[in-house]
Amino acid sequence: MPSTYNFTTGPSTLPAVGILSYNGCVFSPLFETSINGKVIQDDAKRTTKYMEYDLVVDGFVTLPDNATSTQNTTKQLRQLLTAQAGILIYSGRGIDLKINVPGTLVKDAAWGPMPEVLDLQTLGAGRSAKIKWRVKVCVPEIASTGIFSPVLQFCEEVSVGYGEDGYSSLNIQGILEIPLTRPLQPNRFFDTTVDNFRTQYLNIIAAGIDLTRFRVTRREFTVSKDRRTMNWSFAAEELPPQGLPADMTMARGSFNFRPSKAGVGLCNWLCTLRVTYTVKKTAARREAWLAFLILLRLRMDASRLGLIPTPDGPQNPGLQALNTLGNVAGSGLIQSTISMFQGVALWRRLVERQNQNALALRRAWLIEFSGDEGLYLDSKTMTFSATWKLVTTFDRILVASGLWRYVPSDGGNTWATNIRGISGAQSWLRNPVNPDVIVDFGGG
Amino acid sequence: MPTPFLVIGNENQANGLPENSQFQAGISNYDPPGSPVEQGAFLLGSQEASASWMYYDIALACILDSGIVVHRHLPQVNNNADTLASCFISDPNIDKITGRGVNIISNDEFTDTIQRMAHSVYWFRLYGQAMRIGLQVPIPGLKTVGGVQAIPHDANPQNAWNKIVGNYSGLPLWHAYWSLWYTVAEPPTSQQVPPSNLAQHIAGDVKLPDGMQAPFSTPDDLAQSTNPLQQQTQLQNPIGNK
Repeated sequence: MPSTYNFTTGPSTLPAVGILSYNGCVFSPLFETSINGKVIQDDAKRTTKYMEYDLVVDGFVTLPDNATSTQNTTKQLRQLLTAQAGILIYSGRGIDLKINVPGTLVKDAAWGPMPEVLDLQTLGAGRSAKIKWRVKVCVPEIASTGIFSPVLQFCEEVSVGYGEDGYSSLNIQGILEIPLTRPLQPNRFFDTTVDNFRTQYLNIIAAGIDLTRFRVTRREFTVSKDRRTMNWSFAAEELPPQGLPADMTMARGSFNFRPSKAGVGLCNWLCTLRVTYTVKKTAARREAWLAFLILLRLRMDASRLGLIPTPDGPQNPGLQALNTLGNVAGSGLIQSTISMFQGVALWRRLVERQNQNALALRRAWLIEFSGDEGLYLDSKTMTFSATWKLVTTFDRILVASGLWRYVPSDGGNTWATNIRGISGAQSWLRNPVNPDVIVDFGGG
Repeated sequence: MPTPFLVIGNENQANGLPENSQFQAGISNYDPPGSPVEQGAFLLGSQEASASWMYYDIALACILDSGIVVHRHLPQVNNNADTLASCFISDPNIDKITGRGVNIISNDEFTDTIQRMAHSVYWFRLYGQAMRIGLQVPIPGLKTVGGVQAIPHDANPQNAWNKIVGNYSGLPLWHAYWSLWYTVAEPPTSQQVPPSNLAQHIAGDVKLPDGMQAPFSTPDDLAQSTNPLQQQTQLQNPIGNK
């Protein structure tokens, strides 16, 4: 009488050669197996992320002693072999696969092993059955270098664009993937997601964007449903000549100069400066005002470079009053006009004028000032507007209005350093994506 | 272990702070009270009186009594009375009338006698108004007119005022009006150039320019200036930096 060996799939008179078990189901020797392996590359097709093995088990369920049917056996098989992320041991057949074994480092990389097929064909009026079971496992086969461990892949594609205005735009998008599976098959909670690696990895990408030349306009980090992969993207656009003030995530505005009254001359001007600021949330709102104030002062101060012609001549009522009535109406008039020369003579004249203007008086009066505070959903923004009256000749309007004059502290390294911390993998909010809980009906 | 279905984690915890800390990570806005940072920051006002004019409206009106009288004779014929009307308002075709306007064709027949009874008399009225920031408007007067001495007119009193019409944060906005009558004791001998406009900074006897000089521009803030000591002939930065 040969010995009988009991297995989850039923008794066998043959002893086990090696081990084939999954999730507590120990297969008898009455099975044949095959393993098909597939290389899974990263998205860039430059390296192997892991091997995806397809283990096919084909064999028989036998009738236990004193049983009249394999019903209880197949019921147990259906429970054990359809559950995901169980412990898989396949050994003694020339190839060893030991996945999710507690205390070992080899875990499935993608929430597996994943049973995919369970075919049952009853035989002998229920006293036996033919079974075919297929499970997929994903395991790294090459030892990690440890440099980027445990990340499976981190690659990106880059798009460099140029608009019709010649300004550049950058789009960088990629994927960050980590291996993840359950600590134990029954466990529905886990404590790691790919988002845990967002700051470490995506800040590397963000650091490559030169914030002295670009500003980041869009960032998206999409975590997959299984919390294992993150599709991420950065978009950046080239900064215009005038850099942003420190602590401002956005600032838009305009500067306008025009004759104070259309059609009656090009000597009295109105200059209007209007800027809308968005202050980063961790900075004080008042920084919008300070940024506006310093720009306003800079541009108004340019009125020193203005030139006021003297209405000289015998009929100047001011001069006349000065001469006849002892009044001082004309005493403030500057007896100067600029003569126009060509070439070098002109430039020399202008340099002389520059020196004179360094000591010259300002010629601007602030005549209008307004603020526009966004409220509620618009409270991110603050708008200031100021208008001053400027007196200068037509030829000096560009310089006396302060056109193209920027505050030295705006833009460049000042802004880049100031904004770096909120232009990478996070803004002032980290918004960590929590690990999810697995919700299933059947407990698989 | 996170709370199930709490997808986005606690921000305080994410920043290494106690979950229930009153300090809210990421949205802090600590702005310590104290002296306003703007203290001592003055907005620049004009320091030049000639730039203080908001507007300046001045005119010199001339009134001439030529000294000539017209002696009218009694009518010699009984013609219809003259009228400037060229049609009657009740005319049903008034909207279709063409070729007529003001009727100045007289029905009368006369030749009056012209007699110069006195020499010409000139009156001049210097009047206008102006607005100025910070400074009162000096009321202008005439010393000479038409090349002869201007004499305040005895019959028409001069009047003028300055009044405050606005407040620019401590700076009064002055409005002035003046009306000054003059006459002369001898015949004017030269043309009178109209008064200059102080707000427009131009006189009536200015020589017309050949053209308008295009506005000067400045080098960009970020442009690298050339060292003038090294390249004397390289002209740059003519206007100066901020």
